[in-house]
Amino acid sequence: MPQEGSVKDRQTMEVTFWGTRGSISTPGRGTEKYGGNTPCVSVTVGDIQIILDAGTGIRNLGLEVDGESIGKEKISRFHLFLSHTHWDHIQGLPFFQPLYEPHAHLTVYGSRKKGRFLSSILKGQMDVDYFPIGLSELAATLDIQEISSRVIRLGPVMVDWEEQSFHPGGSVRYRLSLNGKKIVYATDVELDRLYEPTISKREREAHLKRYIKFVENADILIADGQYTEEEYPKKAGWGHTSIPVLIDLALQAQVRQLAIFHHDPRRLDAEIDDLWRMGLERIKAKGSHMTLFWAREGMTLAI
Amino acid sequence: MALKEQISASDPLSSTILISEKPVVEELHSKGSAVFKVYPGSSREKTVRITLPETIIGRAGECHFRLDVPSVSRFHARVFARGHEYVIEDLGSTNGTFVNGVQVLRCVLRHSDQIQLGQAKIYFFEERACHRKAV
Repeated sequence: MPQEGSVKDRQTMEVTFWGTRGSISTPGRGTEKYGGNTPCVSVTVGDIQIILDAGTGIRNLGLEVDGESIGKEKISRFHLFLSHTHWDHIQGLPFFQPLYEPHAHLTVYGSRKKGRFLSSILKGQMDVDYFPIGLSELAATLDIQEISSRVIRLGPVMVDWEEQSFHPGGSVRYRLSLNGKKIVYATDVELDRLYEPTISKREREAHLKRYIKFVENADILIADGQYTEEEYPKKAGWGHTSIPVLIDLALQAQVRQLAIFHHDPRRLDAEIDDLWRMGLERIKAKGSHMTLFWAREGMTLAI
Repeated sequence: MALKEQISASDPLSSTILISEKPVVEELHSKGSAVFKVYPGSSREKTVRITLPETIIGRAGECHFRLDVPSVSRFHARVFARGHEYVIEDLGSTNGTFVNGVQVLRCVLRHSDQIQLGQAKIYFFEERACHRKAV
């Protein structure tokens, strides 16, 4: 009989979407195809467990790994990289089941550019006024680190990062590399701002060069495409990118697969289906073979 | 857009095969059930009800759901129940498992998803559409 399809070797990055929705969770029939949980993506390489953001989607990830570890005394290590600390990217953390297990070890990485320390922010959301269990009462070992080195090595996986310019309060993009394969996670950034008349040509070119260099030839780019072109003008300054701008930049950077992420909370599944069709037409018109899709909860890809 | 139109619009390879939503929906009776509608390339379409907790799909005779198509691996994919959902998982196939055109290792299935295994195309239909219709 066949082998299990799960990739447990250290040659492949297994990417799973646990939460794809932006801003606030949106449960309901109209959003169940693409999902209503806020951002969380896991990347597994053998026994190395990397998590990108801790939106409400992290709860289901926690339940799954908790189910797998029942009866095992082995230490489970998780590495959580936060793009930033807005609610939708951290609010699932108190519900991450492994935090209540003594054999779990979680390292949280985030920007050091915060005016307040990262640990204070995470502790704040578990203050007694907001949550019954404090951060210091968790059974798991928690290590919160503001990123100090340019590159973080986790076994064979190399993680590098850059601060992003266009999001209120700032945000970080991450690139995970393994054996020449690259996953880029670049959510919560308003790339449309690059084309504002207030941005000088020189500044625009510098930003673009930096962005393209970071995402270039990514095997998968998971990126913020919250708004349509028509919606964007009313949401300018909110920190999110419009879909056509994202697609065109991904094409320019010769990305292999573009997973549009951080879906607008008002966006229904049927509307995403329509946007997907239009996006595919845009790519086809430009003669590209880039794979385009809207990230969907419960989907796992092997990179 | 009607399901029939959606399928023909999104799938030029099966544009000669039109299926109606009504007969598919009417087949679905029991709570939690789902069916596959299969277009295995050259042979005729067929409907397969998912009844087992795990269904192995492939070219081999031992498979629960056999697809006699050369581009389908002997043990190509499995579909299993997880909670109230069905999940498809690639079993290391040669030509991959695609859901709505995206190559996946594993994917929770949703109503009217198009699955491609080699040249074979399968549509997944959840039972809940029946409830919608009945109301």
